[in-house]
Amino acid sequence: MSINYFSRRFFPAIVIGLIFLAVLASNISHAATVTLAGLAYSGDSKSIATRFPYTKRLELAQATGGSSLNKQLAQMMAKAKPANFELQQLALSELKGQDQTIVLALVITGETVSAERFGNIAKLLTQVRAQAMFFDFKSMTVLRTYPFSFSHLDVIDHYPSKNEMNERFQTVFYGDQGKAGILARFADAVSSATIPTNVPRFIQVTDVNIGAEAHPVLSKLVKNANGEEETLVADLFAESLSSKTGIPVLPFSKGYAIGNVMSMRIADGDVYNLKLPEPDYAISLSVPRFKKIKSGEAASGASYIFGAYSHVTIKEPVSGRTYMDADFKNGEVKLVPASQDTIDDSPAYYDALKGLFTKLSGNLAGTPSDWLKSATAASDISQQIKTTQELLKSCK
Amino acid sequence: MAETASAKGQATVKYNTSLFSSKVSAEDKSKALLQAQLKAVDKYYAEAGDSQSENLDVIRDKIKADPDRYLLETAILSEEDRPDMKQYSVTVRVTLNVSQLRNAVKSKSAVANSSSGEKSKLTFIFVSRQTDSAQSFDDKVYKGIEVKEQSKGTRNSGQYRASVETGGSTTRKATKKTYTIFPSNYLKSVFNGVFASAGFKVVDAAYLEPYSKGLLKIKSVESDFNSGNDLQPQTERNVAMGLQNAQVPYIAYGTLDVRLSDTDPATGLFRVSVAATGKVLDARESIPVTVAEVGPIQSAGLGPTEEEAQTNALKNAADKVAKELLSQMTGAGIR
Repeated sequence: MSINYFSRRFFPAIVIGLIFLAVLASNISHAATVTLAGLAYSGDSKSIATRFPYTKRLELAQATGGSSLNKQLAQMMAKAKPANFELQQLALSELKGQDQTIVLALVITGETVSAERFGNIAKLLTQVRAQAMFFDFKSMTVLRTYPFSFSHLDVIDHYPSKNEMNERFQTVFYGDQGKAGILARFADAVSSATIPTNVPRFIQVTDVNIGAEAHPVLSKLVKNANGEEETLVADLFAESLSSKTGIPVLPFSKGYAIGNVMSMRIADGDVYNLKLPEPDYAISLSVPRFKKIKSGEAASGASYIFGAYSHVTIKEPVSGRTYMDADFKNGEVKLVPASQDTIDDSPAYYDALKGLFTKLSGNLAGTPSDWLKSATAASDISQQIKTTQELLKSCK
Repeated sequence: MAETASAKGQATVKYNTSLFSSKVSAEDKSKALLQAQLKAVDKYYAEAGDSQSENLDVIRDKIKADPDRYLLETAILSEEDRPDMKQYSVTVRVTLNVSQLRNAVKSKSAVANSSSGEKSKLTFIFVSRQTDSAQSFDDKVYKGIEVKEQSKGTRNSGQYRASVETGGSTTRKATKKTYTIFPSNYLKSVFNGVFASAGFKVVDAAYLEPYSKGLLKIKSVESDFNSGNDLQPQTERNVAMGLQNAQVPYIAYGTLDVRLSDTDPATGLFRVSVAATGKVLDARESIPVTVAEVGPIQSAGLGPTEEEAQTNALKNAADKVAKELLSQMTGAGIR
């Protein structure tokens, strides 16, 4: 077999192979590089200690122990292999003058630790809300955010001590009973996050309206009533939508930004003011009420259906085109043992609202469920889901 | 890095169907897209103010002819085809190349299209100041009582009537303010940059003083702004005659009032706001004419120290005033 015969026989295959390798190489060399900035806190830098006392206490305790939260995050992310970009760890000061300037931060946006006594039991709620935030270091503009949270509710037979509260708070960051904590959830969000290759479209929860009947329930779930209920609902929806569909959702502007400027401080000390892009698609949520119905009773206890109601609107504000405009309801059944003489309804209502947003997001992610038919009276809901799905695809 | 801005626009076109297709054609879609892009540019200029809108009129054809040069990105936010109404709508968000648009305006301006010999000289004096003392005056109150007596008989008789009228007036006097004027030489580069890049021959006022035959004095301007918001008539006349002596036709002048610092609620950093005013005088004739006037324009600056916040606020305000004045001058065809 001559060399010429070999060349003629395999030439096309060699050419195709070389083209394939060239394309592969160009894809690898063009994969975006993202710089990890570390842990950050949203909002006014001077009030961080009062707004995030437990996270700051945890940060201090870990740093005193020789491994700060930031260091732990860096070590964890050094092993992470995000699917859609390269992750590097550099001091942000080194980015000045560089072409590649996408920065990633774990931004803590809210924490709630509350203990409440009910008769001879106590309820301890610990919650942290956070975001995996990508921003452009050159223009200081938020590119995309993936919200997530961790909540833990304990019912214990005594009022918790400060130490118990701190210990329980640790589990929010490190996970508990196989449930991933904030650090692992951040890694998980980053692993599948995407960097916009085309012109990005932005979606945001822009309005939250809480009805007078729903207000007392939600106010029990947040520490202060200063607009926090609205932020809680907005975050809950954004987290469900983002985690189910994989799309980034801009942070709720009323909760985190003033004049569309979101301030944050990296744990190492630098303060950055990031511009939030104007949303292209606006989500309006209203939570008019919650409802509790007894569904069964036996000697061992009673079962209740805790119902949450919400109206969801998604529209493009310039043309006024509406993609979704429907009422939804969701019920969660809870058993209350006869031995329990006091009942705190708010966690059950919270689960019902979270369930509503999660199930709706599941349908928007392309997983149809029977729940949808019973959850809304909108006759064109299938069409609404379909058009919203197309819209969400464009936001990826 | 090019300065950019975002704007949204929407357009609807009516289309004709053919025998072979009842849907909107690619050509009609492109037409609608271009219209929506131009609407977005219109919106950007409309929000920037009247003088900026005049500038858009000058360059609209340029944008139409080569949209990609001025629009960095276009995101289609929604599109809707209504075959029943033969109507297609599209909504877009565009990223404007503001630097490129500004260059286009400049290239069309009278000054840019003048030869070097025709380009005008321009000088400027802007005073940065902060309230030093504010003397407020109590209201002056005058009260009067008038007793009117009407009687046909004596005071004790049944025909006697007396009435009392009270009244008066209150005079209020405006608070008298004096200012501390502080050096802000670094602002010269801002004004210089804006006017010189537009094509004017910018002359430093300090160099101009000797050529004005002693009439244009920076100290006199500062002294007037030390206790008021405008130049005294005598100072203004002297400035105008001084410019004529030095053969410099235009002067831009104004004030930048620095407010006390506070804490920015979003960042916790120092925040200083500045209110700026500006005016351009055409001093070629014996009676000077105001050809551009802006303000007060509010601007703010943030910084880790009060001084840094103040510098940032002054720079922002100076930049805004200079650009707005220039925009009006461009609109007025000043070369």
